[in-house]
Amino acid sequence: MLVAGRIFFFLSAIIVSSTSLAFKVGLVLDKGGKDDKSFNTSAYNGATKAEKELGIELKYVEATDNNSLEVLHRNFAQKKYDLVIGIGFAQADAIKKVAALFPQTQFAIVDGEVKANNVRSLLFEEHEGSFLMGAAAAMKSKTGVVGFLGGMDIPLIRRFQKGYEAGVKYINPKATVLNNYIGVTGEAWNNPTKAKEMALSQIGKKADVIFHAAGASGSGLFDAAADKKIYAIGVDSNQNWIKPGVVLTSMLKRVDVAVYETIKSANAKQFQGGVIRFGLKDSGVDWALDQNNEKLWSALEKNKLNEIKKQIIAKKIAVPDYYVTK
Amino acid sequence: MIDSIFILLILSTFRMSLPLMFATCGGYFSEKSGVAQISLEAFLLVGAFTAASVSFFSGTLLLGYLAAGVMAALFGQIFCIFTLKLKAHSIIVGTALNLLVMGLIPIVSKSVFDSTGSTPSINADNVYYALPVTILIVTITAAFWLSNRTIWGLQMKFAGEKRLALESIGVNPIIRQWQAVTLCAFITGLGGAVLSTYLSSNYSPLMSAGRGFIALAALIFAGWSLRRALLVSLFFGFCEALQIQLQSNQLISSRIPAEFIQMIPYAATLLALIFLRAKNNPPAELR
Repeated sequence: MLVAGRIFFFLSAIIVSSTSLAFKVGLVLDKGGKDDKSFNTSAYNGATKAEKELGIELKYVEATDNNSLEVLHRNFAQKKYDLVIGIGFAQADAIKKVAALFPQTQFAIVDGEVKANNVRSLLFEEHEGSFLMGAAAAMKSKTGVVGFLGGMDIPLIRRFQKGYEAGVKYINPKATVLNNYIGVTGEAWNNPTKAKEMALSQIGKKADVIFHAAGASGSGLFDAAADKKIYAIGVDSNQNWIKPGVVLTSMLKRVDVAVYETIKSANAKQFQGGVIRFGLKDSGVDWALDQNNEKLWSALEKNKLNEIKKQIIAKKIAVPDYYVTK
Repeated sequence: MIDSIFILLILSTFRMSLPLMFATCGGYFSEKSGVAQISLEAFLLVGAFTAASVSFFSGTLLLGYLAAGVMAALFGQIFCIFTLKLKAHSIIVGTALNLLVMGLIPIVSKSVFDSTGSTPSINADNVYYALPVTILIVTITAAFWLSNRTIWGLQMKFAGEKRLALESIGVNPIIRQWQAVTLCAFITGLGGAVLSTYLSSNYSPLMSAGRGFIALAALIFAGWSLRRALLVSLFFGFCEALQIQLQSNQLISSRIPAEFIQMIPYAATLLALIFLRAKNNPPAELR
């Protein structure tokens, strides 16, 4: 054990001494992984953009289970990384602990709130975007039944669901919303087979538009939707390209922008702790329209959605927030 | 409406139990020949990854299935060499293989797809629904025939029940076990292919989600009888399907919290274990 420890110390000493003086950023991704085409991909894209444009040094790791989170953060801090970014609510505890031990290191967390001077919490107003998706789904649904597919059953995803339901009811008060959660553990972000099964069961109950907030599991929904010729709605990243014509739109959660801006300000020595919220008004949350889904939307429908968006920003539409009302 | 829910449930049950039935079928051969098999999980993952990659590059699903079986069987050789030739404990080797796969697949996918353990989606137009069902029927028929109607099947079982008897007629039990484990890996690999090409359209990390262990549980639960083990797999699939159906049923989900519905598969398994306990007769020389 002692020998192993010495070897480890030796190796880390080499790594530390051999690195350059560039601003070093460590990115700890969630279980869905860099290629989930959704939440983590968005974070990874933001960080690689910073790497290219700002000349920072980036290293990313993926947490295979929640027990490794603290170790990953601690490793980055010990190796004198300037900024360590944790992606996902599950990392809040680990960051809280490690940030207290390394006050000189700057941390950021997406989707979690940690109160410390050296931690910046990046939060999104998911319910606003989900409301918009609900409205979009209800506008496109012919059967009056739409579905929601959540990843892990946690308050954050309940917040998506609640906003979505409100959006559906706003357009069509008689519509039915079917809800499914893939699981109660982190594995739920990465279980496309179960997502597909759940989507098929919802389609069997006449759902013809389904919105997912399930990370990498979402690909199961896209498969089911393409098979059964219904619409799916993507989440976090712009997922319209995955199945053009099937993906109605995507609820953009600009984790990439949040990550990029954080790295940029830290690199410019302007890092500040505290909470930063991204919502519809600053395009931190939005709906995606590009060449892949343009044909699915008439000018009238586009205007209607944008009108709803404006009204939410102007607080003329009150979107229920699960965090506040439960 | 009742009808359609019923049909939905049956179809869903069938889909959820497909990979389980393959894994159970595979596990049966290994366990019956006296080799405890906990690396079904690893074979599933190897099969799933291989099938997704080969189907992606070749565009033919059948090739993907074949490659999955062959690759899993090759991978199974590591298991054979350590347990049968070098006499290591099968549980330890099985654990090692499960861990090895978790690391190996991301390394391969990094060099092939530059991803951290997932593959790109295969073209959905190629998904051919009758294929997995046909393969399952062929596999199960072959498995029954092989284990009950052939000399090889008898000898394979004797390797697990009474080695001495097998040795006395001049057959090396190790060879039978070696063949059984290879067959096990091949069949389980096919189950993996179902996971990544039929139940979804790409490989995602650890997508087997414990199905290898559930299959093993089904086997033990059914007292190492192939017929009963397949039925138990169906039962596990049914619980999972029921859970999915109930959750999106408005009438029920408004009254029962989601947590309780999500508990159904596990609670049902526990209850079944208590009430339907089959008489356990593990192969005498299972180790």
